[in-house]
Amino acid sequence: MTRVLSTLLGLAVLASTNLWGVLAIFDDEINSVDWQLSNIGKYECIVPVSIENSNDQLLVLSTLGDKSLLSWIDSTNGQLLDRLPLDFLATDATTSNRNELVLQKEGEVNVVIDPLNGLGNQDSDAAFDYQTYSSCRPDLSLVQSANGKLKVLDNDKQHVVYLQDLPENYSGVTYFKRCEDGSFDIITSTSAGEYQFSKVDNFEVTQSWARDESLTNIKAFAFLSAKDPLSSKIFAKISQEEFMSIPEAYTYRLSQNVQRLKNFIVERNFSVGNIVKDILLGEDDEATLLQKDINFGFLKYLIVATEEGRIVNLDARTGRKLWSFETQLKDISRIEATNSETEILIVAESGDLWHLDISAIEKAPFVLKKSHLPANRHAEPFENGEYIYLGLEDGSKTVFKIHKPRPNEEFYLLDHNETHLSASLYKDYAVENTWKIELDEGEKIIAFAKRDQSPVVSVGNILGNRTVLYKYLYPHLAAYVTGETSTETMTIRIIDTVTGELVHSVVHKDLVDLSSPINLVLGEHWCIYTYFSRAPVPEQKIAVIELYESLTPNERLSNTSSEIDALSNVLKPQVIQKAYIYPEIIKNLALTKTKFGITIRSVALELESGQITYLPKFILNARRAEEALMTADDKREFLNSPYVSAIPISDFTILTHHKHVLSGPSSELVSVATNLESTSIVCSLGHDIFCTRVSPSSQFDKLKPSFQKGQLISTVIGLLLVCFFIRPMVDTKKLKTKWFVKG
Amino acid sequence: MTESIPQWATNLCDPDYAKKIQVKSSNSLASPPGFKAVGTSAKMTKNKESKPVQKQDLSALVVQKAWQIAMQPAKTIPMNMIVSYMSGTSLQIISIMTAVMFVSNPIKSIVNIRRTFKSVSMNPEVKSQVLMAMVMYVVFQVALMAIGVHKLNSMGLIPNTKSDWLFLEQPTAYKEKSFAF
Repeated sequence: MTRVLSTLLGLAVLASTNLWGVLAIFDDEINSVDWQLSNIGKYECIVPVSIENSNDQLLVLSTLGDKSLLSWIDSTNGQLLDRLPLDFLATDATTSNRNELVLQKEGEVNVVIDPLNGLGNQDSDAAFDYQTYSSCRPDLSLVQSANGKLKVLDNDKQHVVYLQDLPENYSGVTYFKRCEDGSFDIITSTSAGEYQFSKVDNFEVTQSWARDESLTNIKAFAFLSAKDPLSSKIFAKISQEEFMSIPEAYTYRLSQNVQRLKNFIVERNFSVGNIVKDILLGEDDEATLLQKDINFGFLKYLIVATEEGRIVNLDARTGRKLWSFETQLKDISRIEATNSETEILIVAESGDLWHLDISAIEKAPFVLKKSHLPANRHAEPFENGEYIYLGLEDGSKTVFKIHKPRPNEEFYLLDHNETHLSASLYKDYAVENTWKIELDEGEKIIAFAKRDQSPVVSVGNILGNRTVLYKYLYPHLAAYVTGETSTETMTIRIIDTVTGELVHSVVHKDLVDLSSPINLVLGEHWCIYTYFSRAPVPEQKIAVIELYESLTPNERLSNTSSEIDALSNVLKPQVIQKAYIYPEIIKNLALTKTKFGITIRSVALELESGQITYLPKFILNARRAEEALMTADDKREFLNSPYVSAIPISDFTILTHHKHVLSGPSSELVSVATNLESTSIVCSLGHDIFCTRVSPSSQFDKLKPSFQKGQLISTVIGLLLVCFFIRPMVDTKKLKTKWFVKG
Repeated sequence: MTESIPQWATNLCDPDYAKKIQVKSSNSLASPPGFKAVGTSAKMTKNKESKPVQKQDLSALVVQKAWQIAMQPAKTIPMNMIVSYMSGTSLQIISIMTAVMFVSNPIKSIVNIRRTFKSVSMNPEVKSQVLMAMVMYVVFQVALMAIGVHKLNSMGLIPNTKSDWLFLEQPTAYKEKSFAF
């Protein structure tokens, strides 16, 4: 039965997607489903790429994490041309007479770089030309700012050659270059991170552009869905039917549908031509496309908080900025949507808590309430933003209620920092400590993951011989990785968050490189972690641990009949694990989320090279075995393949195409579900912001654009017409046969 | 202008006319010229003499016929086995159709068993033996069906394993709510 279903599904998928190859995302999809905000960051120094010839490029030195970043900007329009992350932090920069960029390195030899191509100039003897000024502190002797005006004087400091209103939050002039003929280029900056370039020639601005760098290194974010007025109307009508008897409800729905049909016809001015055209061609005007995006749930709003305390709303389809809102809070730690996404909470480390009303999400919000919480180490909203957990500076913890609390609410909370895990129970409006794990001296928590709470579709894995391996679906699990630098070992522990009991642990003693990124995700019944180790050969490794109730097929140990108390949970999982080798260093790991969890689970990987790709979970399967060890039944298992230690990067799964995402050290990779089960939005939020859509099992719930709707409809109409003509013919024929009449 | 009704028309309208016609037995007709009725009468007498014997023969014939009908499905068993083996267990529309046919045809035959045995079920004397043949017929049809069922099973189309009913199984529900950060 399942086979029939899976075959049918397979056929449907095959029919709708041609072949596996359509999983790929190709060049023509660039910028149609993805977008990238390529940021430079705070401009430390700006130098013209070339002094002599009239090269219209500027070279900007900024920071990316704790290293420096060189960016080339086209000075005619402000477009970013290229970026080059350096492997050190440059504290100062200057240009030499030989058109070289000299970067000052803290306590070390200066680095000389050719500004035209960014290549290091090793054999340059004039390492530092002291005759030149520092490019990071432009000569501002001719520039004055006072009374909200920016003045530029002529060489004799007698006359004002240029006058400009200062922008809001003006913070200074970052670049000023005066040519022989009196024309000059100037870049002013604001504290929010906006840079305004003007080229003034003959007292007139000939070129100007602005770049907004405020969205570099965002501090907090939240995703909100667009509300669909149409579907909520239909939903309201359907919920109305619940109070009616069946025939009443039926007539009600019928009348509603007739009304909708009427409206449809009236909207098209009773013109048959219009209706046929609309049905055949479909409308592809903006309103319809927007409605489609809302229905499919592609239209999400990404609300971010910048370092300067600005709240910005971005359209997650295109990256378009919808509004920005100043809070002046410099230490925002969390943004959380609450009250069915009509409000957002903004939590700052200093304890400020702002309620913003965003019920009209495309319009700028307003403050509903400002309140003050105790200053905290970290704040975690939970239960749809109805509560906020606060870990205070002194190590104590508290839970703050946003809305009226419901009585008898009980939550088990687990908090962690680098050296310990501490759990608590929130009960009767009070927090009570339950258990604590202190790590040994020298040990440190490197990664932590809670279990993903997506819906469970199937309680077991179906094997090739049609037996079932039951998954260990205990929900209160968390996993953490600890590392010990002295022995270069790493331990992964999976624990019960309610009781603190150790469920499973794995130790890696293969010279784990603890300075390279170590990531961890905990899915339904499995845990995937990545690390770099130097033994036996230096390789990036991805390992997977799968938890099953029992490794004997068809053996279910968990209870289904009654609700169970987690404290009396005695069931322990049985574990299978496998490790794989990956060709690139993995910087970040995220689990793709879909609405119902039917789509094949995947992990999105952000690579050190700046690319984002994904791996379906069936590749990272702990039950894969070498081909020689596989039985015929194993081979028959759906999506099971022999174990091969190295996982190659499939070109088709590179989500960033040729783009490079500079995410910096503290970036986050997140996935949000859309209304289409097949599709999930994946975003990398760090120095850059990059968002795209992924469909790991191909777009099985969406018709391809090449779907021949016209042909299908015309065939149906043709067949109906044929029936209309053939029916009387058949009737006469039948009558004649009855009467033995020929012809 | 009146015309007298002809005789044939009167006869045509008379419903009892056919009964009134005198039928002459063919036996009383004279043989055609050159036809010699050699020993006919003797045989007739002989038949008349051994009437119980003849009746026994007839019963045997009926039973034989009944068994022939009963054995018919048995003969197709090896054939069906070969066909079902050759068509493989891959899930294709043709093999699924044949497998379904292997199951449905015996059921149809069993439902129509009275019609199949109609020609031999008139004789009440050999009723028990015919019944026996009918039972065997059913047994063979069941055997045929078993081939079909086996084939369906080997194709995995019969929901008889735990995996087929997995969608009905629910995960365990836990009372607590926990959050980890």
